[in-house]
This record gives sequence, C-alpha cells and structure tokens, in this order.
Amino acid sequence: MEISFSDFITCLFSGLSYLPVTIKMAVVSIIIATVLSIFVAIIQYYKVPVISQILTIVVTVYQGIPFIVSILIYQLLFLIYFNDVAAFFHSSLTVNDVSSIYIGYFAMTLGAMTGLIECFRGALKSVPKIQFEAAASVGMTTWQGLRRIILPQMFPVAFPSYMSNIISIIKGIPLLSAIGILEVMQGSLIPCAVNYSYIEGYIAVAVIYLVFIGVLTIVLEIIEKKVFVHQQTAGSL
Amino acid sequence: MLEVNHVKKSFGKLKVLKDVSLKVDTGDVVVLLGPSGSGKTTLLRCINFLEKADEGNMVIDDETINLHSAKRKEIKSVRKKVAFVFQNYGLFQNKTALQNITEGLIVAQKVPKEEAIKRAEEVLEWVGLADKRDHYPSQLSGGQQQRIGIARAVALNPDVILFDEPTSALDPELVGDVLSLIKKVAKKGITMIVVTHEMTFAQEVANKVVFMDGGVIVEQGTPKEIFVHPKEERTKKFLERVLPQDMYYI
Repeated sequence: MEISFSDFITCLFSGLSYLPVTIKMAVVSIIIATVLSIFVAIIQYYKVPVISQILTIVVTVYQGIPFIVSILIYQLLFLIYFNDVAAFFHSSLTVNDVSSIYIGYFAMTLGAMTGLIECFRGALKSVPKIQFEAAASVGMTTWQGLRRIILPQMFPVAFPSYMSNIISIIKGIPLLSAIGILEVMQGSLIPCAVNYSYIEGYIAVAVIYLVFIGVLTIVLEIIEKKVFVHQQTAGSL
Repeated sequence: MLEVNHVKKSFGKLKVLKDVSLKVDTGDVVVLLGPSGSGKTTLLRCINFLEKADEGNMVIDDETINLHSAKRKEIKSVRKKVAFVFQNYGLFQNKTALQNITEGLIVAQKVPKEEAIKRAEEVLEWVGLADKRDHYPSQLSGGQQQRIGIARAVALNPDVILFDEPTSALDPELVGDVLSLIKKVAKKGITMIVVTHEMTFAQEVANKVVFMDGGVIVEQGTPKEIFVHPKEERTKKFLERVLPQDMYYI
C-alpha cells in the first residue's frame, strides 16, 4: 500500500472545511471555562466556607475521570433524561431537536476547567499578600482590588501555564467525535472511506493541527511579550 | 481624635497584643518603639483592619467602632480617614507611579479622573518625583518607591497616616530621603503614628513616644521623658541597646 499524495490533499481540504467547527468549539469553551475558572480559583483562594470545599472535591473527582469517559457519560445522560426534563418544563423539544454540539461545549468547558482552575489558583497565590493589603488600605473593596490590582498581576504569572492548558484543550477536541461531532479529524477522514486508506487522513489531521497550534503558540507568545512587559517583576516583592 | 481601647490579638497560641490602649490627639506625631515581636506593627495593622483584632474598639471622630466585628461600611469609613504606609512599600506593581496615587482616589473615593490626576501630580511634585510619574515600581529604587507610597497616603487626604517601619527595608543611604519626607508630612499637621527604629528621627519629630514590649504599652510620654528620664526598667534596657551613647545623655 502506498501513500497517495492526491488523496492526502483531498483529505486536507476536507479537514480544513471543518476547521471553523474546531475553532468555534475551542473559542466558546475556552472563554467560558476561563471566566468560570477564575471565579472558582478566587473562591478557593478565599476559602469561602462550604462552596470552596465542595468545589475542591468536585474538581478532584473530575480530574480522575478520562475526558472521553465524561463525554460519553454526558451524552448518555442526555439521551436518557432529556425528554423527561423537557416534559417537566413543558417544553416541546425532544432529544432529536437538540444538536450534540451543546454536549460538546458542556464537556469541553468542564474538562478545560479542571486544568485552568489549578493554573489560576497557583498564579493567584503567587501575588504577594501586600498587594491585597495595599488595595484594601487605599479603600478599595475586595472585588475592586481583585479586578484592578490582583487579577492584572495574576495573568502574567498564569500565562505560560494557561498557554499549555489551552493547547491541550484544543488537542482534546477530536475526542468529541465519540458523540458524533464532525470536526477537523472526522472531516479529514471522510474521503478515506472511499478506498479504505486512512493514513492520508490522519497525516492531514496532524498537519492541520500542527500548523494551527504553531500559529496559536506564536500569537500567544507575542501577546505575552507585548502585554506583560512591565510586570515581570510582579512576583518579586 | 483617635483612640484604641483594650486591643487584644493572638496568632494561634501567641498573644501578640495583651490589652493595649492608646490615645492620639489631632496633629500628634506618635512614635511606637519596642523590640521586634512586641506588637507594634500588629497594633497598627489592627487600626487599619489589615488584621482583625480579637477584642477591642477604636474611637475616631466620636464614632466607636469594634475592632473585632466592624461592618464593611465602618471599615471603609475608617480606611478613608486612616492611610497606611507599608514597610515593603506595597506599591501596585501593575500601575505606574501616577496610577498608584490616583487608583485609590478614583476607585475608592470616587474623585473625578481629571481631578485625581491633578492631585496626584501635585503630590508627586511635592515628594520630588514628578519626573517618575510614568515609571512602574519595578523601575524605581526602594527609596523612590517608598516616597511614592507616602505620596499615595498623603494624596488620599487622610486624618491619620500610619507608618509601619517605613525605612527598615531601605538601603542605608536611602533612609535619609524618606525620613526627611516623613518630617515634611509631619509639618503639614497630619496626625501620624510611626513604628520605627530610627531613634534620632523619633527624638526630632515625635511629640509623643510609646514604648511597647511583650504586647503591652510599657511607658509613654514626650521624647524627653522617654529618652532622657525613662521610668521603667524595660525601657531603660531597650534604650541602652538601641541608642547611640551620646544621644542617651542629651
């Protein structure tokens, strides 16, 4: 069996046509997960009674479950219970009306959060305590201090780990094919079904991801250099 | 004008403050002396609610506030009247010198932005750092950072400024600048409580010296009373160790 270059090109274009799906999945779930993770990290940092303990347990348990297993569990729970829940709320929607892409968003967001919470919590801890005190001493509320002083100092510290986190989130997207979401990987494999030669398809996926992640890494590194230029010593005091 | 009564504070089993009461009048420059671990800094931090006292209250402008169970609103009103200068400067690392000063004015005191900037520029001029307005703390020396820290406190227009060992983190050659700035603040008539180990400064600037040891106030009085005629044995011992010989016999 030989690798056919023209099949590879066909696979590449087929995969590329699904790139918007992958990007949409990534952007939506990363944005939601980032915002939620920051909140959870803050709750854990301040050790808010009860909520913080519950969150810690949930995160610990969730970290022990393989991503693909959680996706499949959500999918099955959705299939089993959606009709009943919809009926309970007097909705006329049924399982067949709702795209599984929403389960994808849900699973991706939660999956991304486990890593991001740790990333932000560690960075939050690295901001010197005196910064919190200084914000309080000039009369800011806790929230004002967080928003204007603490979080801006947390981001540069969090950024390198944030970068590697979102890259692994994006590389996890092909797992969503388990619940029938057509993204770059499944898209690249479609032409392979014609003559059962899959190698071209997988190489195409690899190439698309390589370029995509490469460009993303360069962009993120530029952001890191340009945006956080004055704060590299933030952790030193 | 500022009074703290029966302040108690423990960290775990360690009793840091054992029933401390202190009265400060308007315009007073009070210097808190004492060996390390005597509770000076903790007392200052309790006054500004950076530390929550176990017991005690404070009276400021005829308003009595419980130091243990103050409400958020009360804490905010105290912090509006009482500014704090930190040992390690405590400048916002992500803000320029100017922004460090305007931040509290704009965000906490709701001063309009233009006015806040104008005020900050005036204060920067006053501390002699007008040319550093757009520098970040990491680009400034320790002495400059502490002068910005003092500028930030002064700009908030407080009734009282608390100084927590403002010169102990500085290189020796930078101490002078900061001390002379603190003297300048004192001349403005702002009430100050200063924790310091600079004895010469205490003698020159303070009108009241408080000696603390082991979580209690051992002795208080005018600089002359404390430095020249200390009554308590503990005060004498401490001064013998810290005062240069020639000063002890003024």
